[in-house]
Amino acid sequence: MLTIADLNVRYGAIWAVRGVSLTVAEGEIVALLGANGAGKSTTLKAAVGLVAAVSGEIALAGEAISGRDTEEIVISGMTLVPEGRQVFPSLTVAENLRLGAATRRDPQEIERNRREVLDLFPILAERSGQAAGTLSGGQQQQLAIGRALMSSPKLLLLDEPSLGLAPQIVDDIFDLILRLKARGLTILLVEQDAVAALDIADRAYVMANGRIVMSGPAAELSESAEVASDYLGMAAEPAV
Amino acid sequence: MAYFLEQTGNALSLGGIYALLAIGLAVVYSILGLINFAHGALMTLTGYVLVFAAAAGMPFLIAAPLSLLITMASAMLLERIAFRPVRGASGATMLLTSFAVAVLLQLAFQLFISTRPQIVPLPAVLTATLDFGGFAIGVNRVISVIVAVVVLLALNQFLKRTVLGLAMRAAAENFDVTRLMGIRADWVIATAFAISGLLAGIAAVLWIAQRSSVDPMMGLIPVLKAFVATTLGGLGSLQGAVWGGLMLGAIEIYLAAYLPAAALPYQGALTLAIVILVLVVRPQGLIGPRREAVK
Repeated sequence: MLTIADLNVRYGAIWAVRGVSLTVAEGEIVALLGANGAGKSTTLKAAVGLVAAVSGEIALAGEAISGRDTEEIVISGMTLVPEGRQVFPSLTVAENLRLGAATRRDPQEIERNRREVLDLFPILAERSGQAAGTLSGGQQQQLAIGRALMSSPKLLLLDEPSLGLAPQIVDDIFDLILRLKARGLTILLVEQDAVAALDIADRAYVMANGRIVMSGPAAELSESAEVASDYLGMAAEPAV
Repeated sequence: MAYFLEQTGNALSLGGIYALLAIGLAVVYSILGLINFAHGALMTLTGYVLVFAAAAGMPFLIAAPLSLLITMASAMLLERIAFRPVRGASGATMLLTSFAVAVLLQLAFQLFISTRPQIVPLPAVLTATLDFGGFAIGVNRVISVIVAVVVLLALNQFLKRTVLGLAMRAAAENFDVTRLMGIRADWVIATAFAISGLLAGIAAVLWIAQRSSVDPMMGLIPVLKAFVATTLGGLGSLQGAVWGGLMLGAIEIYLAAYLPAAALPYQGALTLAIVILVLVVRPQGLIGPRREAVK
């Protein structure tokens, strides 16, 4: 579904992403892990064209999309739920959702899609007329995901969905990601909470200093003490 | 009492024009972080279109909409030629660009048209006066208030009911995420300039309806006032621009009406003193909190 090959991105003199290659197959949840500043968010932003890559090839469902505008990439079926949720605070919940469907023309399809999103997040129906900025963090995350789903994506990129949320709410969000997978959505998940992410992911990549340093099935990586201690900043269990 | 009502009519009429201009500045600023001082030159351009259309024998009712169209198209053209290359540059770069554009246009008007004021022939009805048993108000002022109200309501509907309108509000809050909605950055910015140019044109027609002449510097003062109004209302806030414009209009008119003759020369200074006082108390303007422009 998504292939990134030898991606390089820099901000001024600093190389944020160096030679990153990864793939996400249809129907998978792939986790992209790593400490703060490892280059995970930049990889996602480059994938959707929000930051320009110095070099590298990006293909979505076999079609090369490197160098295309964000707007075109969203229309081709990939969108990003940005870090920190970034709902439009002064717009209402309903208006945020409507903008999510801005690329779509058929009012009936948009309406059907809106119902599906509201089924998935009943709280958004309750808060429909309220300014998005007045929602709680967890509700804003639901709105941010719901808004992204309104564009009817095939591939959803999620940037740190657990950031700043209470543990209980984080569980809800991860449950939701599994439900989205069950509905046939392909997901690339960037997370600092490696344990939670590896729990729901099929495969994972670990980034450090802009490079991919490990990859493999999620189950294998979660057993690896190396991942825990070296790259994810967790207290490692002594290896047996 | 009749005098007070007359002055209130004048205050609403002037405030309405300031409000239209202030929104034009705010709509571009909220999205690009650009304070477009070339806005005044657009007003002047509207005036010259009216002059030439009249010279060509065109009736005012056709000339006015034509002048609006040309002003709107020119605003979009300015964006393409002058502002797109500096998009995303620092605020100072964009500000200087807008000054440069304003000066160039002004010089062009002086060189190719005339430095002297040109008469804009107006239909007789605009210069008539309505008498409401004791208090009188010019038809041009009444029309000015009505047009301002209608335009503000229409703009409000556009921003609330259409996807493009929603996108404009969203882009003012977070430009990158608006692009993630699949909305073209270029469209949003072109729309901002189109709205801004249309409002400058409407404000110019209303302004000229009360003066019946146009000169190369015509737009300069009203746009400076509109800038004061946007600051007063809260820079970048459209609602603030409306309130700032109305308030500035009211301050100017009531001061001119009620100051003792000896103090009249200080009307401008007193107006700005009041504005400064408001900003000391509310640095974010009447409608806060102030948001930083994205980009």
